[in-house]
Amino acid sequence: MTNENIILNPLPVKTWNSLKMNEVSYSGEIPEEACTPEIKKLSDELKLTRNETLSGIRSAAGDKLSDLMQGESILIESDSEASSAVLSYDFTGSRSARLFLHAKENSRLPVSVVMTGDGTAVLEIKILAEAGSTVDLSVIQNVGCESDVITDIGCICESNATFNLTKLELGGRNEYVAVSVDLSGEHSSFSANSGYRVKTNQSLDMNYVVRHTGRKTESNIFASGILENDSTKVFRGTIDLIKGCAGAKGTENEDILLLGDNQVNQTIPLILCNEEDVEGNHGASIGRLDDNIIFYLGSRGISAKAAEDIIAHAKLDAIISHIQDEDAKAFAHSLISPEADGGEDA
Amino acid sequence: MSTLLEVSNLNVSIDDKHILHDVSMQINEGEAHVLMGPNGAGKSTLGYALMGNPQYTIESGKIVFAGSDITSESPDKRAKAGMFLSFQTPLEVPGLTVESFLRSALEQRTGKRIKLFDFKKKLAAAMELLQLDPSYAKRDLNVGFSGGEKKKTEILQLLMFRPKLAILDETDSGLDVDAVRLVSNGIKTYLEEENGALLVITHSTRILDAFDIDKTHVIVDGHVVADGDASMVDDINENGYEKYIEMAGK
Amino acid sequence: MKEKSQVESIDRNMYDFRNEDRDNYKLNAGLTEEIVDKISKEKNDPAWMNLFRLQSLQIYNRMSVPNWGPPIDGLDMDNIVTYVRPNTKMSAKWSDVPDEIKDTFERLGIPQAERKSLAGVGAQYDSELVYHNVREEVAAMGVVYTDLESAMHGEYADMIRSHFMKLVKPTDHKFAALHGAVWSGGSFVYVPPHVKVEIPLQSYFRLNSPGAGQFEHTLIIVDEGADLHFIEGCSAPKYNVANLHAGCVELFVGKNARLRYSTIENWSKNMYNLNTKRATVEEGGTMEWVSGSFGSHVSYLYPMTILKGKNSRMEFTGITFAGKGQNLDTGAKVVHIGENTSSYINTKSISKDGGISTFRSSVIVGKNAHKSKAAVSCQSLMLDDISRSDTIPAMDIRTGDADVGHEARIGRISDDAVFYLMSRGISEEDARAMIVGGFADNVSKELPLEYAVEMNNLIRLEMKGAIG
Repeated sequence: MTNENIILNPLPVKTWNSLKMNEVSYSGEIPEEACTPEIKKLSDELKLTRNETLSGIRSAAGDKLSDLMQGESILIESDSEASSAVLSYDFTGSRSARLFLHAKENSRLPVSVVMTGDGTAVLEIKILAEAGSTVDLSVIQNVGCESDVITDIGCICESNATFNLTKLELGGRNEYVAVSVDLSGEHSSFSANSGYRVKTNQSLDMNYVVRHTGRKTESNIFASGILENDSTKVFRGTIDLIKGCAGAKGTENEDILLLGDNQVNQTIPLILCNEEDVEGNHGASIGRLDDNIIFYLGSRGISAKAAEDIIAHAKLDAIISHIQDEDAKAFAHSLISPEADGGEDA
Repeated sequence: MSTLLEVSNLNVSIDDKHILHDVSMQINEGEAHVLMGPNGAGKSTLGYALMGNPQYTIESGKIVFAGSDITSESPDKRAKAGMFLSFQTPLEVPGLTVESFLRSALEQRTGKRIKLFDFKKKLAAAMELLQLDPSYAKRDLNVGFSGGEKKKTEILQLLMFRPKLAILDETDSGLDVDAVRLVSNGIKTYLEEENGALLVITHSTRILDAFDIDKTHVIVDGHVVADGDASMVDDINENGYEKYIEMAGK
Repeated sequence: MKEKSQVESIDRNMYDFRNEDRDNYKLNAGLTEEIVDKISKEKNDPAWMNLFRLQSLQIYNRMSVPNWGPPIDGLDMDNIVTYVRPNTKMSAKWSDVPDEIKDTFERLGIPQAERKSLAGVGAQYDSELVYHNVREEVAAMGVVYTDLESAMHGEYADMIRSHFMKLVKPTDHKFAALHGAVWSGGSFVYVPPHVKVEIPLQSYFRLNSPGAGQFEHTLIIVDEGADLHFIEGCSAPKYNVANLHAGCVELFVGKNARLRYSTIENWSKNMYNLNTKRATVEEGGTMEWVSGSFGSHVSYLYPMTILKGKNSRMEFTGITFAGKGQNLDTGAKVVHIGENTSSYINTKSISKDGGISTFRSSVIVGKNAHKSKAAVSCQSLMLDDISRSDTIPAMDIRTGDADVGHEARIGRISDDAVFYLMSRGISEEDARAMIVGGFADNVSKELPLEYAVEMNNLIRLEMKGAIG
């Protein structure tokens, strides 16, 4: 239990302090009690042990959090074409968990993580993707809506390794997401699909940092979400094209649908570059539902409110389609279906 | 008639891939040559190699143009010596207008300042010949131009620069009948007024109706497999490349 | 002056030894109430201005330097001589200007520019206005274009008092406070309602003495329905001693008025350019910024626009070229307050020879700025792999029905385009210069012809020897 404020999600390069986007101050606790996951699925090729050799992998959550994280951790290793692992964490009563994923050379490591329960939830995931390996990680966050949630993901990709991340943010009161990826081997790549629905009085604070050091590395961050009345979202996305990463490409895109009013919607997409032969792109579109779409759907007998729900649903659906494990995908679908929202009449 | 271009045993590669094998060719002043061959035979590669595209590596062989060895010269030196390449896909250069581009290129080629009045007159005449709207002079080079307009702009440059040798890479591809006629007119004007030489790279023969061909070369898999006169064009028109592909197989 | 600062720095060393509050004292050593008072007296400030300067000094001493942006360690306030007065007074006739000064202006082309029927020339030599000439026809329209110091005592004294540093407050940041304390020279322009000034007004600023800081203040008020284009051009020779420029520009755009403010800045490559520019726009008004940043060693420059009135709009068009030894942090800020306001920020930046260029922006759309539109587009060009180009755009959107778009791109000159131009007989150096010139055309096509030519020449000059 800590009482002093912790600085989370610092921007790699600061800007005007008055914008209050350089970092976020977290006043909640970092629970000491460990959260042991329920192993829903673990294909035979995978090895599960207790080990923390990967704890040194860089984080984008800030130094303080890394210092505080300790205790029990689980390591999943893959050295072949593994089919799937599904872990379910119940954070009820406030808990912390550490998960390490290690994909050996030319292996595949598909992991889905489900976060539920009522209470402060802190989950750290550190990943090493060795040469030629592929790590597919899906994190479905549906923690109780009164809870603080911190998800801290760090990954190193060696040459020709691929890290695919799918994140679905649905629960929590204040949620903090930190994703740090080092594309250090040449031809390694990172792709993130993040979908969120931030409800009234919820806040979501994200910090994605991708460092391209290897040649011809590629990254693609896509964040798509819905902000309801009185919700807050901060997106920090940094593509760091470091000298030597010739031929690298980094892209980040944001697509935000605003439902209602009074949102705080902050975006700061950094592209840092000291290599000539690179491409860095960022695009953002923020707005309400297009009047033409509302009219078109209206002419088919769909109310404006229902149209908003349909479009919002479609946005999250598109993110969920990236989840590899069929059971996890079905679970994610069940969370965003209208019944899960209390069966509102569309 | 004196030799303008002499290519001997040229071997060219790109990204360590060997594309052209021992290509030799001789073009005399005022001659019109055509280079034919199936897709991917290396036709465009030869055009780029002659013009000195730095992405293409000359492994061995020699290019002599207008009496000097230009094998390792930079593209601008080759252009100044009188060589011209019409690109298959001309590049877009935002912010650089057609007019100011033509004027600075002309000034660099001649090393002299060009009188604005003479330049404007020449430009207007050439644009009219190609039926290019005068407003295009003020537009950014190739930016937002249709395929046909880009090709016309290439021929516009040919008319303005008046080179000794024009290499036309698939200049007729993607053009409608009217545009082919206009482009052909432009090329004819160049041939007549300048006694220019021509190397037409093409896999179709539409553009060849407009002028007399002196020599035909057929290239397959990076090898020049046959040289002949204008009648070879008709032969290919009727019988296709099969015969030549077989020749390459041997 | 020089001797005096040496004495002060010895004093400081002795004092440091005993004083707990060292940092605070260090600053006092550079800039004291006595110095500020002296400036105030020489300027013949009205009492309110004297007080304002002293209050600004206190704020300056209280504030710290920014913890973001390029390093300004090379700045040593102890050695900045804040005020240098040339041996000449205001002059309205060209023949009265001393030869030495005239020669410098001649090389900058100021008289030529005037001959080209530009409306007026206010040129600043060191910290004093030396040459000032407003064309009679413009004055006859009721347009006031004068130096700020004399305006403080004239007919427009109240107007200046009610606008001076109301937009950029001394509390904004440390260098705004410094400006408030030691500002000197600059222009005042007032365009009465519905007056449309057809020809641009222009002013050249110039720093000429080693170690001298320049703190000119520009105050422009464009009244309801009026229209003005103001051009500010800067250029200074290179010195070995660090120079500081902390000017301030305050622009008030009235209802349905339009103001275009164009700058081509080419400070010497040892200058610290910490300039603050800000505009506020009333209902239906339009603010247009055209900005080229080529010079200085370090720049912090982010012209800010406050779209206060409904239907007001702003457009910012900028280019930054950072070459060897330069760290240019530039961009724009906009705050949408009124309904249906719109902003468009379009910038290009170029980095070369180890230069660092940073595009930094902030777009804030407030709660009540319903149906507002904001678009940001920034493109960066890297000319080699020893340079650096960063993009730091922030957006804070507080209303649901705003339409906000943003795109950023970092890239290089395409080899194919270079080859294409070379195949037409253009040398590689020129081909690259042409492509870069084309890249910069967002700004050059917004400038009057002679300035566009000047800017293209600058680019050509910067591109010389770009080929290794």
